Amino acid sequence: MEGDSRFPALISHLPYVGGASRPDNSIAKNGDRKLENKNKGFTIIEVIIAIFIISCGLMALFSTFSLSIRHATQSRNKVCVDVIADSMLEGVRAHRYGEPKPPSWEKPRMVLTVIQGKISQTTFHIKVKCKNQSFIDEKINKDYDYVTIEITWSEGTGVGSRGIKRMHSETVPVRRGLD
Amino acid sequence: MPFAFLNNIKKRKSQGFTFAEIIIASFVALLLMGIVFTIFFYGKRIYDYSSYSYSISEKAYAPIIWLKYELMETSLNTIKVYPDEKNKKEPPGVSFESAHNPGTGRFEFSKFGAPKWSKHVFYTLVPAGEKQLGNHKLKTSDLIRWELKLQGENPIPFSSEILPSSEMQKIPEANRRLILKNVIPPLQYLGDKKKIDEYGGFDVFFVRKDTKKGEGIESKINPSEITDENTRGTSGTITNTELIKVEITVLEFSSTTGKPNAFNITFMVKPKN
Repeated sequence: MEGDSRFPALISHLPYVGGASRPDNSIAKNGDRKLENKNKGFTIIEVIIAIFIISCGLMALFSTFSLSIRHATQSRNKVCVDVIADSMLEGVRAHRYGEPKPPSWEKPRMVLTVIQGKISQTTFHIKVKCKNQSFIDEKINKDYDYVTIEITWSEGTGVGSRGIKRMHSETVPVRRGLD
Repeated sequence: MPFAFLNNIKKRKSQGFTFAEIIIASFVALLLMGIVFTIFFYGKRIYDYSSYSYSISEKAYAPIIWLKYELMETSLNTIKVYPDEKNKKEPPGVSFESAHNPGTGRFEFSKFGAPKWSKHVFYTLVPAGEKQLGNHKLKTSDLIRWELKLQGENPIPFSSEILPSSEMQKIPEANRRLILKNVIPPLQYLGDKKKIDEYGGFDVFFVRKDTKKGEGIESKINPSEITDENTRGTSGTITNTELIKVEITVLEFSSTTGKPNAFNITFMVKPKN
């Protein structure tokens, strides 16, 4: 028999690895194929395929770990965003209708986190937009407005998450005379 | 002879392993063990990182919810922050009046629609002694919530004249609620003399505003108590807002590595009444 039946032409020219010797033609002639395969060892193609599969498995495993860190960070950031958005809504509630927008509203909020001794700081950028501007400009004579709070931040931890920008947005109606 | 190969196997079995085979087998076993241990330790590290990342923000979230809703329901004039200019030796904390009835779970109103102020609520940082946290021995405190019932139902809100340091000892343990554990008291140092008060603490401020610059200014004085005396040194462009700013920092040490985990967050509330 010449080579493996699956890759007849290719395999016959390939070297054998793992200390295996080429198949003995006399045994093959006797028809004992099982014995022949046992002595044969792996071909270089089989070894490469096996290494490739193991590498894929390991990569999948490591990416799962990294995904776990990313999700934990995302979850923590979501808690921060909820708290910041609530604070901003309170700030909007405390704002007198028609008064100019305080610059402190759009001041970036830093959240300090130390995990296993590693200090990280996530910066949350805030933008406050008003639909018809009457809420922050007394010259505009309208009695209602819609305030949109946009919070953007970048997920800083975990493979593949670097630089990913996230945004949380909330819109609330405001009316003159309710403050 | 059809079964001649069996003799070969028997012969091979009695031969044992060659030195080269043992070396190769050991090398392969070491390599496999190395891979397995790397995966295990890396996985363990990731698990610790993820679980502390979740738990530390969750720990901070519980007191945020408590404080946010209680401060929302109170009256701004009744809020007192400790320590302040007059009471510098008081433990850090805050007190305010509440009309919340824990029995019914409702905010109580009189028949005229005015809140029935029935108690003063205190949040106080209480020293919890020295604790071994991971590899570090340090002083810690607990954030405790406790109440003082008022005589009758008061239609007019007022701030508490009672200082937490004098009254809290009289409150039975059962009536104190632990809100947050392992809060670092102010000016606490770690073993290596590294000041870590920026990682620990509980702080409450009244937010004032510079109308010229639009900047928020932190103050310990309630807007209702602002006088010419205690605003001395500030320009006339500073006005009050109705906002309260609360800063919470949770600190804990990893049980396996002893490394610190901390989470610091600030939020604002506007009392409704």
